[in-house]
Amino acid sequence: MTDDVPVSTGLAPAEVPPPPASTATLPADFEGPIATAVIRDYAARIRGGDLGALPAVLGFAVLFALFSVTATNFLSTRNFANLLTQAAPVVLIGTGIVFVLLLGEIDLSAGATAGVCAVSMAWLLAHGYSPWLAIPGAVVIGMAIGTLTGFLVAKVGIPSFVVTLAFFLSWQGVVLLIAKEGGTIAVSNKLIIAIANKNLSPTLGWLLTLVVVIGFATPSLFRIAARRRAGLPAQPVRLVVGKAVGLALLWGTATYFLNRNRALGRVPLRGVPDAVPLVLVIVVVFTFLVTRTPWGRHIYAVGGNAEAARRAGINVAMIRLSGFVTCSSLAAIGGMALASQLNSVSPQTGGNDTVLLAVAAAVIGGTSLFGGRGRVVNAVIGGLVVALIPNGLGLLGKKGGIDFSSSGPKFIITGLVLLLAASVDALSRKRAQTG
Amino acid sequence: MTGLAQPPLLSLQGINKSFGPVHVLHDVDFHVYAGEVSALVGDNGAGKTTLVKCLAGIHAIDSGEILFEGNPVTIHGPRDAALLGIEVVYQDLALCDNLDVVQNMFLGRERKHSLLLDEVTMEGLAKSTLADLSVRTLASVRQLVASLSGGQRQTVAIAKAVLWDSKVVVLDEPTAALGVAQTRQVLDLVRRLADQGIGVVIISHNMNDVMEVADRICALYLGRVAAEVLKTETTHAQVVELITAGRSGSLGLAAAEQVQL
Repeated sequence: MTDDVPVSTGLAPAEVPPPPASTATLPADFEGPIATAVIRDYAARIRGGDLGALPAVLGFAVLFALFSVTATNFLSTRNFANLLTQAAPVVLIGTGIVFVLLLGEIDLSAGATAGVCAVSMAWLLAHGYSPWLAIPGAVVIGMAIGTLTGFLVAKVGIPSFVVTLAFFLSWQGVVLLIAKEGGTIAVSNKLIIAIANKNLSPTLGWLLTLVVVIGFATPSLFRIAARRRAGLPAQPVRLVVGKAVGLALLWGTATYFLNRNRALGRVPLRGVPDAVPLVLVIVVVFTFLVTRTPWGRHIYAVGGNAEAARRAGINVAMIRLSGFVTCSSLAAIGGMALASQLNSVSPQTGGNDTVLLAVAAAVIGGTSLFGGRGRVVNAVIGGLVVALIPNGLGLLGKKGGIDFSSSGPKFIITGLVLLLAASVDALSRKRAQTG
Repeated sequence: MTGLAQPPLLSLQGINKSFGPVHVLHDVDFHVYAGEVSALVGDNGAGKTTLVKCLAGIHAIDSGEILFEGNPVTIHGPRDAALLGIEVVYQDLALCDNLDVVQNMFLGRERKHSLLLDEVTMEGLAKSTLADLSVRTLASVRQLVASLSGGQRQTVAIAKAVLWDSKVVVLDEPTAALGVAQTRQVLDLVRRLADQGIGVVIISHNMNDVMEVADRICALYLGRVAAEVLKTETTHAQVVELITAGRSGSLGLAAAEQVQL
């Protein structure tokens, strides 16, 4: 343990050490341009060993620039809308994965769980059951699967790696039994179909932009007011305003382009894909739960130091179990998004690389594999990177004798990107330990 | 700091504890006074940790009596100890590196606004607790514990124990892993805890620390109390003899008792 903070004997005020730069909040009396404030705030966090989503944002920028130059039609509104829709299932399952990673666990069965939930829902719908039973039913099945996994990990004490690897195979078997070998179950429910195939009207799209910006700024401003009232240091208001303006510009630009007609045929196609508000609601709800409730705090505590959490009176086993339940429930919703993409459920739904992509989304987004560090929004940024790879490669087509649109290059590149993200995670952790 | 006239805040009388055939504590008497630092010293295996764990409710005692503020009490678990106002700071501190100072201090006992975390209240209480202890070495209570030095961590762990209006705070080897300046910092803090009227128990191997900070010293020798003495009435050399031989001049266990062992 090295000492970079001068140690005072704690008596004379003259010996008060200057605040180190590693505090993540700016003083309220910070003066200077807002852009500088935002950058300084972020730089302080990076110096503190928390790279957060920075590598993912950089990775997204690099891949985006690369495909923009090489792939035809990549830089089109149509493809941008496609990318958002394609990313939705990965982001949803990845959000669940964030919770198990925060606990320092892993869920390799999340993809297969998504498959089981999707196929159960499709079977119920195909057999004439009400969507009001089938859709919540799928989520309940997800919760049940999560409870079983969580029980085996937290109570019985089997490593989560083994439990979920076993279930990865078993749940795929269940999907095969329900869908019958080689068979598919068509999904025609409007609500499910809408996730990947429908768009918000342009007006609703602009309304969503407004809600997002106000929804971002208002709680932050209230928090600043509450902290000031209590005499605690608060972020400068201008920092929040600056971030809100940035968000408004980014979201507004995206909405503007998505609201333009992107149809190839004569029927106009415009609007923000329905997948966006779905993912937004999930991300906001779970961010709220994990940052504002004792449950969320305890998830971080168990992932950071389970023994400390136990001694603090936290029911560690229940927290672990709840993490797996959260993961599997979100996998169920991800499974519905998968069903929506194909308008059907097949034995492949949620199989193959689904879980790997979801884990990749969480890790690339900056969630630590070692537990205790990460945010829900990480899954969104990581999910976009993960979705960008097959999207761009598909449009790249045949170049220099290699068919980039085939599965081979896609698997290789996604695997390498995951490995890269895991290396960044491991190295930043190492630095934090020795630093 | 005289406290001689006052009754003990916490007193353990005739405590016996065995683990299977191993009789670890023999009729141990130990007293903690409000506003005083009681040092618990002894060689490895003397029973210091076992005694503290009995106090913390981790081990049940086989026989003996625990009096808290003069009333007999039973401590069946850590929760009972916490309810009485007894907090133990273990050597490994039990802090979460990935959480900040406030989050660690309130871990497991978060203040809530209905169902949500009340960060403003928690941060305010954490700050005032640290201010009461004159802790000025923390730049921000929102720093992650991972970024703190060993002494700062010890400070946070102690402040966490004090936060709950604790009456007795037990510190297990608080200076064992610290450098000179940080040891100074922690010993000052221990002294201030006592000045606030808390009964402080400090377990230490370091005689210099003990002689500096303690008001009374209880030396354990092979599971028995060799002597419970006031610091002003003893010397460094005497305490070392009590630890190593169980007796020193007129103090300590009688020779016959030693033979019995």
